[in-house]
Amino acid sequence: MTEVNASPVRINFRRLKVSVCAAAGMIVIAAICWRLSQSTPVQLLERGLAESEHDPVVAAQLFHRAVDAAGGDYPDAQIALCRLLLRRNARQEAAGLFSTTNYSKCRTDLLLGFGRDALRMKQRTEGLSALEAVARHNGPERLVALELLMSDYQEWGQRPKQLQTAESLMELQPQNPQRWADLIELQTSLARESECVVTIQRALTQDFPVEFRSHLQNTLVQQLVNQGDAREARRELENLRKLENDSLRVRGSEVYVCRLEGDLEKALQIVTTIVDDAPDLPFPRFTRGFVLLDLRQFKEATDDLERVIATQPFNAPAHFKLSEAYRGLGNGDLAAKHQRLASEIAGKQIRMTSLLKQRDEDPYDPLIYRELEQLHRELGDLEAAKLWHRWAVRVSPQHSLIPSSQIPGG
Amino acid sequence: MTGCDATRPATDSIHPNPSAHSKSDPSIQIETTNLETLSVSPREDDWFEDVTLRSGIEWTYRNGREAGRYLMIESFGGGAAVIDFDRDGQCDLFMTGGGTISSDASITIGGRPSVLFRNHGDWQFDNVTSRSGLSAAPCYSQGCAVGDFDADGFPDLFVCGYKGSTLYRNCGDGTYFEIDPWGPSLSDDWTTAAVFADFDHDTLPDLVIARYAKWSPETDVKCSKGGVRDLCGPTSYLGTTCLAFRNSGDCQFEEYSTQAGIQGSVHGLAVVAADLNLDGWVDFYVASDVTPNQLYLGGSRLPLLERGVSAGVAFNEWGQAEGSMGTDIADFDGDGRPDIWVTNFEREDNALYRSLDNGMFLHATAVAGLSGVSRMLVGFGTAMTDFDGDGWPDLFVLNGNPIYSLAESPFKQKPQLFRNLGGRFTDVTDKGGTFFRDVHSGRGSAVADFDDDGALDIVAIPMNDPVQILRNRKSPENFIRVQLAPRNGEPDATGATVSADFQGRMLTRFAVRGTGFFSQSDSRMIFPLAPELETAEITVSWPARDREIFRGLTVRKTHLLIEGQGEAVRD
Repeated sequence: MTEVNASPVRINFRRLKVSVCAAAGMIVIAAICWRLSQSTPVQLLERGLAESEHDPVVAAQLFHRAVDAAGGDYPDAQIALCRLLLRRNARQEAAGLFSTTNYSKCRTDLLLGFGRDALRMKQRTEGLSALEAVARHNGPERLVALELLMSDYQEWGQRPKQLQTAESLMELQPQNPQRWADLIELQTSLARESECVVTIQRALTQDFPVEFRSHLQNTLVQQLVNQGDAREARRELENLRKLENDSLRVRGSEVYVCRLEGDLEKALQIVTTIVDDAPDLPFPRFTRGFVLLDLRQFKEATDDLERVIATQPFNAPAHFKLSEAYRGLGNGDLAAKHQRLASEIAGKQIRMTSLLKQRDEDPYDPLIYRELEQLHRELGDLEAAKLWHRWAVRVSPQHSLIPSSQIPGG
Repeated sequence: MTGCDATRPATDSIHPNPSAHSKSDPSIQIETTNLETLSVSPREDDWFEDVTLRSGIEWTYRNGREAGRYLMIESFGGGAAVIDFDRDGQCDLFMTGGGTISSDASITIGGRPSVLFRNHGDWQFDNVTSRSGLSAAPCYSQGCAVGDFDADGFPDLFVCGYKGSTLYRNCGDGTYFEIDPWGPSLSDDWTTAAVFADFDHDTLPDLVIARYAKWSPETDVKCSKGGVRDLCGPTSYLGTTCLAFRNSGDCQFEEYSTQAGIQGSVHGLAVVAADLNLDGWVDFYVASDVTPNQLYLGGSRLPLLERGVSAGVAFNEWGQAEGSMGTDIADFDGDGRPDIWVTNFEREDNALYRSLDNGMFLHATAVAGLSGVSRMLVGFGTAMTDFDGDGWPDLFVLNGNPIYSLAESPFKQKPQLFRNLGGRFTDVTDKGGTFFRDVHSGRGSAVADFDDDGALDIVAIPMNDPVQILRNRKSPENFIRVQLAPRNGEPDATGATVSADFQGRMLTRFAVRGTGFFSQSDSRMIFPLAPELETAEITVSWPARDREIFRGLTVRKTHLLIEGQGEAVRD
């Protein structure tokens, strides 16, 4: 009974204690709330980044708050938000936000992440813009950005941009032979002979494995032949011979060097050894065919060139050389026939080159791919035709429904 | 048509005055001497000596580049015509002037006057432009051609260019008079090169004209790379056909392109007339920029038959059309047949088409040792002729890039000289002389024996830089020079073949017109002779007619070989 009638003093003390605790708790909560509400944009961004893996909604709120806290312009948070939107498949929204973001001032790690995701999500325009911005900075992300760009340009056949990227990669990693190989291959394909020679000569100053040096040396000889520099080509050929002795490609290159030097008898002698060693390869036989033509051995030239045509019916230079050989034999009909074939094939090839250049400018035009498909089909290269067909569908899926008759050259 | 004497503007008659250009100011003389010493300073074994200052020939072709318009017509420069306009036996020199381009909002293209220098001998030339009535500038001029279209014995002139290709009749008193025999058909056109030759066999020289494109400032395309403006290449414009004009006498020309068989679009930069398949009829070869070159074969009647592709002279050795510019014809391998030499754009070999014995041609650049030697250069003016008097035609190539800065090779380039060692060439550019050791914006060129020493000299016309006159120092020990005069007073022997023995080897020369680039070279033919000979014999195959031998011709002289006065040869 006495317990029921507890001391009022004691009861008041306990109430006081609870109240104090509650007040303290509230103060702490208020302080926390205050502190939270007073976070810097950077803090908000960091918290958002931390949240983005587990709770994208909270992360998005934090990024928005970061932007607000920064006065409405905070590229880092905006790009982080763009990436989040992409991951939620809100592509249009992401693209819209990206277009209004001054991403050149953005942190390169964030921009790289967005760029990578954008490419993966087929948001190519935004992805390339982001990665190109990263590549302009000298930060640690530059290498990855350049590699991603290289891969994309290669896939889309944008060779001039690919070349620029390859140059940057080579300068970034000069010790990596693949970087040099990529650059040299691109310079070759874009007919940048002079630049290519300089690149190869620079590459040869590096301490690369013998096999790669050999490859470089052979390419150098070919480039010098293309430039018509007989003396330098001969000098570099002899350097190549030190690495490979009289390998097939040393002899192959020597045929062209001899021809530049005007020594056609020697060229014939060497190319004949190659034909003997590899009688089924069309290229040595083609080479011998035109050297025989140089020497006005028209009958022998037709024999070789006819065999080339039998295995490569769409080889325009072989048809042209064959027409010259028949002209030399006085057979105007066969000369005219092969001339016509050469012109037709060459015309298609010139058109294909032109289309590939157009593709450099506008890789999204499905008509380019359909025409490439058609031209390759006409030249008997069905694999390439299939490849271009896939591209046509890729850039414009509905295009697979367009009948060939509506396509130029179709 | 108005005769020379009727309404021509008054001009002074010409009086030879070798001292007219001598300087009276001694300080200028001293400066000239120093400059001459500096610029010439030849090596002992140089083939050519720069005699520009000594000759008094001061001239610069200008293309209007300073306006910064980058118009297509700026690309190709001008030409020279070697012409004995006063028939004093000396080779005089006519050169086109180019033009001006306005830099204000509306593009205005104007002409600069051409120039005529009279040769007084011993490398003394006198500017007689105003006296000869050639000081007007009717068009932005480029190529030029020489032919006696009115058969009065005095060589007339045709000047190509933009808006106003002009025909000048030689009045025979040292003056020229502009005539307009074709009305409006050429007034708005852009013509580049031309050649006089008789394609309809009426004995009067007709005119074949090359055109590059249907172009006007309004249709000019703007090209740039990386924000840098430059001239566009040929693929920016559609080509157009050549034109043929029939000389109907009385100084009248009628357009005859269709009847003559002219066909197919080209970017025409040269037209050469010669008998290229040795059938006796004059043929025409058209060098075209990136479209197939054309060969029009003449016959007993029109039309001419275009056979460039089937004859094997249209493409490079891989069957591709090239950027063809300068052209010459000579027998490079000593087989008596005319071979064709064509200069081309960068990344291309210059093309040597060897004549086969069946009227066909075979690409022979590699065989002749010329593969690659010009691949990083752009060839314009050229000559395939015997510069060193050994009987074998050598090669001169004047290089320069039409693109100012965005091409692979530079705007100014070194010229080249190749010696023919018997059907195979070797590079002797280092022995060419001071001119060959420097870079130039090379365009037009012509060759002539200005000093009558039996060695062909060179006129090189760079763009926007002074013309260079190169004296050939390889004068042969003995030689003979001939000029052809067909029967009935025909003014044109184009298509004739002339041969002479040189130390047991038969040398063959061809009567050709329009060789070089935008130019006309000396039409006289020079044969080196064995030193001990005092007389020589020359065989002439007249176009579509008989062969004759002219015997007992005194050496070291020019002989006019008149058809019918030789000894007929029966085959």
